Amino acid sequence: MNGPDQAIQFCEVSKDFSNGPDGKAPLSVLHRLTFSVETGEFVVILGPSGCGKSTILNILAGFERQSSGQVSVFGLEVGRPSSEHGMIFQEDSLFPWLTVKDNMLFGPRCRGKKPLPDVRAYLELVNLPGFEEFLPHQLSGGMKQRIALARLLINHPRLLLMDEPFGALDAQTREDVQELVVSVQMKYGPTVVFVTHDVDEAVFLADRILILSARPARLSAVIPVPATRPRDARWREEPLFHRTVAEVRHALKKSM
Amino acid sequence: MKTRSKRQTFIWAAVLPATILFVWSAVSLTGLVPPYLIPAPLDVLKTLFLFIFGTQADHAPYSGTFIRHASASLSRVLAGFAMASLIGIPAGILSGRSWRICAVIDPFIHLLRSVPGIAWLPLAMIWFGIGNTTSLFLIVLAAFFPVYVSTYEGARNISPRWVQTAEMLGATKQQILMRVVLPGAFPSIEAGLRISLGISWAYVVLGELTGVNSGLGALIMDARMMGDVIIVMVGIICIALLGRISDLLLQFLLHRLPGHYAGRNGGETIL
Repeated sequence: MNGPDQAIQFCEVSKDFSNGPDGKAPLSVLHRLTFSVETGEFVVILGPSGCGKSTILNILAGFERQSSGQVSVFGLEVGRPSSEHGMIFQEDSLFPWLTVKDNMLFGPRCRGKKPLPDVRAYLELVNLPGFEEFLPHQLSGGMKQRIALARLLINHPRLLLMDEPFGALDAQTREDVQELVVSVQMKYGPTVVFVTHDVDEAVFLADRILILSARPARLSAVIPVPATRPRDARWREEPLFHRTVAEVRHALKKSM
Repeated sequence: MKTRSKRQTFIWAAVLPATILFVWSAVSLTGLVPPYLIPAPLDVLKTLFLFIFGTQADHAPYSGTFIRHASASLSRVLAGFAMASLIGIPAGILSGRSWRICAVIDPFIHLLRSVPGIAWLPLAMIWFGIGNTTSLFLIVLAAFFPVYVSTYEGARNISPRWVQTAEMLGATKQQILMRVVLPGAFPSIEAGLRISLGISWAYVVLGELTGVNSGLGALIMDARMMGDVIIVMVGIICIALLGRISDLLLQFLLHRLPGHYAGRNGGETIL
């Protein structure tokens, strides 16, 4: 079961928060959830809001611990957060007192990496060349998320966790960064777990879509996305895309 | 956001001092209050000028002694403020981010904080006698609390996102304290430092009232005993100006620190 191709093993994982909404009854967020992700796979987790999607990512990143069950990432139990498992949050997490360049070098500097990686190459990768000396407040929302992505990629994480990273962006910017994510994944090949509640986004990005039920989250459907890679903007126009979107919508409705 | 020019700001800033000066002049010109209580503004200005730029040859008792008094007070303020900051910032950062350290020091600090600084004066005089050490003790004690409390609050309230981000980028706990918590708490720390510097000026005067030879507080007390209200006022004006200048200087220096972060609001106003 725990083969070399398994990037993530989630086995019978439950998560309860001791402080429920009324302050007494524990809140069960995940209930015996089991799934796995293959190395290099792009998995999107879809589910109604508040169903515990973010909790899955927090457990994978090491920010939270499951109440019961086993979680392993690349064959190891998840311990403390590490630069191997990079996470992109919904809102910008850039350090506002550091320039773009210093934000990007934060990880390498903390880990004492020498020589420091070439910031320019990663800025070009996210289509923001020449932005080294900008401060975060001088950037738009889409730019900030792209810098956050570049700041992770510079550490070469094997696992990329993305928690509704483009939820706050306008539709056009959103499609641009989705295409960027696809090309970045092609280039570096990290395993990606991407959480969203946007069905179009899920179908555009994913190799496989996991649909969760309402809280406590259980796996209610797994839908493989038949399109091949590389993908680009044209994938959105294809009939297969629209058929898959319809299928996912249907499954999502049934899960609620 | 309201726009305003430097000139407009300056004019508005001048309104209050101009009004006070006008009322003061009026009171003193009409002779409603005798000059040994409220002297004429012009007399105060002349004495201030002599105090700063005069020499012994001017036959005014305090003429030319500004540098001596001001430098005595200033050195006490700087030493006390520096010590309070060097203890207060690390203590606030550690207490704000470690529940153990917080449990050990925070309740005790707040217990001490509720004692008014002036209540320490008799004890300080018993312990350290009259002089520099007493002044320094009072300043450090009084200036510590605002730095500590605001650093503590700043360290607590930085975005949890930043800490998670730093962990995930591979930072150690010590690196998180130095590279995330300290700069992230900076807007609060700056507020605490400014309050503390003001308090340092208040307590240097308190310390000097007890009978040291030099310092603006000593000058004021000396002049009071001589019944020289003009010099008392000159002393007050000097303290006000030095306090303000040191505050501006502090802000100037802080804003030039590498990685200075002014908070999320760029100084926009609504009125």
